[in-house]
Amino acid sequence: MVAALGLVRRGDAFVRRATHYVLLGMTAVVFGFPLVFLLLTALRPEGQGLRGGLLELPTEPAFENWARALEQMGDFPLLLWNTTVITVLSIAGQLFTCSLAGYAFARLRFRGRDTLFLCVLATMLLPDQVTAIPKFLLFRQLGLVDTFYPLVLPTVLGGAPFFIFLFRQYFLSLPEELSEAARIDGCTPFQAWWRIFLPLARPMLATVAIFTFLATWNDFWAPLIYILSPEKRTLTLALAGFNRTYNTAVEHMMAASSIVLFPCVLIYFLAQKVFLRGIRVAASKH
Amino acid sequence: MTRLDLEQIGCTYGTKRVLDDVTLTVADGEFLVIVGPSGCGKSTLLRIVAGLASATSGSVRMDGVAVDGLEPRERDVAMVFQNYALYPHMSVRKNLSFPLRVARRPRSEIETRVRAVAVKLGLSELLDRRPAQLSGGQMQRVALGRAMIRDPRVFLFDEPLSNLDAQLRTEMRGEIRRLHRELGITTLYVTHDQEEALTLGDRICVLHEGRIQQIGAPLELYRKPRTSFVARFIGTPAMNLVGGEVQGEVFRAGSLELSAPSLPNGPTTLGIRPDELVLGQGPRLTLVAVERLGRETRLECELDARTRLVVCLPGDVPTPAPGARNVGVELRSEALHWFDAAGRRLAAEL
Amino acid sequence: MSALFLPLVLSTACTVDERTLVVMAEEEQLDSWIVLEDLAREFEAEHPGVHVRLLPLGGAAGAQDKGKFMLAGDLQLDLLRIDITELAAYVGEGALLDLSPCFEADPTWDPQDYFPSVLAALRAPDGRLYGLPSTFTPYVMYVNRDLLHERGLEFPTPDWTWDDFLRAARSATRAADGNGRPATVGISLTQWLQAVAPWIWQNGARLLDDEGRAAMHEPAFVEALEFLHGLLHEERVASFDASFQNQLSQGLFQAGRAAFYGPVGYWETYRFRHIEDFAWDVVPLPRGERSATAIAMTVYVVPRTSAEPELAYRFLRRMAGERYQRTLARIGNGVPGLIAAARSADFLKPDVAPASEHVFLDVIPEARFLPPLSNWRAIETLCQAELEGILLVEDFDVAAACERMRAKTQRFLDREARRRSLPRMAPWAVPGTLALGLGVLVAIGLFRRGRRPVAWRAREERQAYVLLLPWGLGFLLFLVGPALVSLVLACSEWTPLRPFADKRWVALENVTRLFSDATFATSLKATAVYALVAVPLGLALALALALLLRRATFGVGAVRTLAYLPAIVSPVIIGALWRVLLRADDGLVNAGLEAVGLTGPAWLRDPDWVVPAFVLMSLWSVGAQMLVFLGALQAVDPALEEAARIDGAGTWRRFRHVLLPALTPVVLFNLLTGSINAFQIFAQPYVMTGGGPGDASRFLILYLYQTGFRHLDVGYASAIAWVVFALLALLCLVLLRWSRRWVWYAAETPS
Repeated sequence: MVAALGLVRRGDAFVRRATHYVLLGMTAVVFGFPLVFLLLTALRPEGQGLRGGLLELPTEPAFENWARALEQMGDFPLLLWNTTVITVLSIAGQLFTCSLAGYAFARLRFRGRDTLFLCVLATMLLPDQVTAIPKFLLFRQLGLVDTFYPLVLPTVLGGAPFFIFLFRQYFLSLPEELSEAARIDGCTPFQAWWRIFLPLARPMLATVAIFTFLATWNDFWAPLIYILSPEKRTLTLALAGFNRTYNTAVEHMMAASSIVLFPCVLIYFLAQKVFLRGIRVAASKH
Repeated sequence: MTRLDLEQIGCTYGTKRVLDDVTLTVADGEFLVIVGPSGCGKSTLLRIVAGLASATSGSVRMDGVAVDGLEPRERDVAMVFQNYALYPHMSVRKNLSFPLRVARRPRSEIETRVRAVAVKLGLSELLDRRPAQLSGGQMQRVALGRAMIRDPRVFLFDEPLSNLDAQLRTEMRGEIRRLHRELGITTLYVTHDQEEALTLGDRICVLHEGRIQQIGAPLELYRKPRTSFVARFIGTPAMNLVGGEVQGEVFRAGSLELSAPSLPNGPTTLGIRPDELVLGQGPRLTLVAVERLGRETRLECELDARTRLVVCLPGDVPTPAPGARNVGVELRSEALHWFDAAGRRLAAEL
Repeated sequence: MSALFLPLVLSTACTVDERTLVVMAEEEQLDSWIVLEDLAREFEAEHPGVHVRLLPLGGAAGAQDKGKFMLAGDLQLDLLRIDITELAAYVGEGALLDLSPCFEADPTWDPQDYFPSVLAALRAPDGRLYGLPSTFTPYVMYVNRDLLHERGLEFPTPDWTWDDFLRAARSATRAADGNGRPATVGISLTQWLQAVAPWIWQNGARLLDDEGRAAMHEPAFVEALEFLHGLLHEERVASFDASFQNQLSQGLFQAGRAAFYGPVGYWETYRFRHIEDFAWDVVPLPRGERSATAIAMTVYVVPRTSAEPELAYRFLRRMAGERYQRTLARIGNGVPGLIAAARSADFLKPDVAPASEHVFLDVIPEARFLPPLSNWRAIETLCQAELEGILLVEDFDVAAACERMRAKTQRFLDREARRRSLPRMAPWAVPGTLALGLGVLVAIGLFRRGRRPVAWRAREERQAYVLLLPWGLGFLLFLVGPALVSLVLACSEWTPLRPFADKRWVALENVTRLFSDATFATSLKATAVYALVAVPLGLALALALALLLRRATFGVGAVRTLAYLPAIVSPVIIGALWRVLLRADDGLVNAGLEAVGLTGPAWLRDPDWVVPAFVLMSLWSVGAQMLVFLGALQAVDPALEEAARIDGAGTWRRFRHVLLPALTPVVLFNLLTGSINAFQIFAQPYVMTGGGPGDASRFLILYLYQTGFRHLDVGYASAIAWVVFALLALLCLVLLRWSRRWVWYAAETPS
């Protein structure tokens, strides 16, 4: 009797575990799909890209698509360099400005702080498209069209409201005594930020860095309107060249996309642990 | 060597008065403990002295010079926090040397000082560890070291021992005392633990609801509490307080009647320390419970439904069984404290 | 700081005595770009002291916007490639230079070199010539020869009629025979205005009458559309796919499942040349009352910001000259406008399909462009909604739809006509608003002394402001400033084709227009419905996934990583994937539904199902929300759950009473960010449906974008943007207020 009960219970646990793994597998398949699709399409011979079944394996994998894609994109090392420069500077700018502002909003006391912070949050609600033209005219006035400034400057000055919010949340989650101790030990607020808070915000720095990386690396709109010269083009602009008015070669586009996407996936895979930690802290308070 | 004066410090958050007219002086080299229940404003007071918060009114002077509006760094004060506030990303060495590094002292000086402090606090073996790898007591030592290393004019302690277990607390208490003796730095120490206050302070300041209740030497507070609050707050077990009324030099509280010579008429509170009570001739009480602690025996007695008295007898002595009625308690008149309706001590006792 | 950025500024300045010609052209194919660079070097050699700067357009998606930004910014641009649908708008706004004098003065110019109907399409109503063709294509019909042969049908003759077509289509249409042979249809029909226009013209109808008024209500027009409606819903010989960019109707033909495909242009040959399974060809469109077809074309023009119109004209002649035109023909970009190039072997490739490539040249005499009166790009979007309704919905009142199309178009034309008479906005409007805004900010700062926060210190306040400086500067410069300017724009009529100084004052008309704008109402409704469904479902799914991935069992790490993947991959790729997944007849989603005994809807081509389709897609990118939930779940004290377990609480009760309360702050976080994202949905409909079918997926931001950059009505777009902003702010306030009832904080942070 007892043994039978034990069996039932063990069977129950087995069913549970089995369901767990089945669900896990389904989730993996569903979410892993875009990569598979991207690679499969990129492997199809030209003209076959979107034909037929999605899951059909290409009979003769067309590896030459990658070679063609690279050739089409033009000076690949230069594109990579430009994109990297913009991305790295954007990340640096975003981390600097947002962590500084987030720190000030979280740990310093000044009049109008909450109102100002509300303004930061409110800017998240304004569609980007509305400021696109005035911003372009501003950079035109400053003579900065066709430089990297319009792509980088808004991160150094300004920063994204969402990231300021994340940093503020993070700094709020650290004990207040830390900033008091820093002050007692003789730090100015700037020093306290630089020597105490920034090193402690590593998970959040990583999270924001990854978000910024993904956004900047994949950004199409800003480079499109601000970058004119071919020698300053970014990877996404080169990618856009595959989207032709008349005869788009989907297979080449997908091959090129996979090249551009690769660093994103790689970085995300490598950094997901820190990323998760940062998100956890950001989410823990409001 | 620094003398610290607080002059009529007031602090208001919105409509709430946190500190009200706090005036006190810490003499040069003195160890002054501010004690009070949580929410009494003692931490705020400490932060005002530190320069972490500012008072709404009044002034803080160091050696006669007003320091209001100065940064902590400019006041040259050091502070030890309840949760130690060590920088988690720095090693012990880095933590200790942080104030010196911020002040851009020469490297050689930093090194000598770190070594000296580490020796003094027994941290030499731990210099390369991170705070997370330390025990509570060790962290507290590091916090002390970080405060000491600059040779500040004033030491501020914000409940530094409340996160430690009982044994460590006693140990650290001795340590802090020793350090103070050696360094002779003016110290302001905040705690909610009256025992800590009694053992540590040269003088004690009792704070309640933002007001100073009494300032004095530990025994003075114990023997002559100026208010019923101080009377109850200082000493364990707490002083028995019996509310009653004086009518024609007689104090009445329920069935209890005591002659109260030269006391004015009106509502009055009687205070007796449990250890000043002995069994004997006097009011008859009902014994509710007996606690045997070995060193002493506590009897919880009931005068009537409203009034309970705790009696503390030295040693493990035989007592009536709980539930016994008619237990007599002797009230020696020299052991009685009298307080008026506002809780102020009445000077009438003999 | 400036030292850090110095290397960023690649020299854009040119020396004083060097003249620069800025040319913006297609970079789409390496071959043509190389030839273009060759042309430029050649030109420089012939014109000493002239430097030709070639700028890439940024692909098909970029081509429509990039030039407009340059024009708005008055940047030097000497040659630009635009789509002919926008030519009239460019001309109407004075954005192009009249090249007629150059042509007249040029002895080498001979209009006979180009196809007359092509040049006619480039002429303004007053006969002026504003540019030369890049490549063009007339609309024709693609034919699956093998399928026709199999059904025993003759290959159509060049002068076949609607009746011939209908007969052929009927016999080509077959249901699936159950032996693994898929269903075939007579025609895979295209649906955008230019593609529908030939049917209308063939029926003797017109888009505009002689006075230039919309004429879509005329009987012949209605009749033509009823014919198309009949093909789909009475004869049932046609398959129509409203999917944007035509990917699916094309796919149907490519899969050998449609006898005819069209009307459509030359561009499909490039793709169809890879077809190996069957023989195909092209024929002229079947003729109705008369024969007619439409033209699609890209043209090179000289914008008003040209610094060197003379040189620009000379280089234009080269770009429309034989060498470059033949290059474009060779790489299959379209039919060259230059007759010599079109007749060359570079275009009429004898050895590759289609055999009747000459059809593209044969139909040119009867080909025409939409009347060169107005912004056809805008009218196209306006009519698209009705066209898709007519073609998609079975019991649809075609005549009423045509009337609505007329009304919409006429309203647009009226506004176009009126905007020239609007008063100019004073030049101080923008600086004035900026100064006023700044003044208000300063005044608030000075006079609203604010409640002193707890333990406030003047010094700390100053330090805080210093730390906020980088943010504050950017906030003023890149957000507040542009936002104020957009407020000014919201009160004006302006298109990026005109200089910024040339704004017309309309007061609050843009806002009042919103109330009578049916498209805006539809758009608002679609967005609200989408948000209302997608946000809660997304929250639930994200939470469920987080619970599944909470415990670190084997493989969980990998799945967690995968879950965020859809958020990394660009919307273009995701869009392409989902278009295939959501195919009505052989898409994976419907196959899955069929497996459980359900018949899937037509998703992207069904006005009732397109929003659910986007909801479905949005569920797929809940990765970020899932991670947030996961983080919060891991932060829940395990002792709490343990305690509940000991108290005998089951899985559900543990979740309901222990986990869920601890998660409420995160639920609020995800709810707010999710709602903001849902209201700002743009990329997915932009790449997948363009707003269709009808207006069913024209979400607010997409409508805003199309209004600003397609209809070129930046003022109205700005007004929409501010309305979206206000709605979102209201929504967030309501959510926050509501959340006070259910959000539970473990430990309140001291304020």
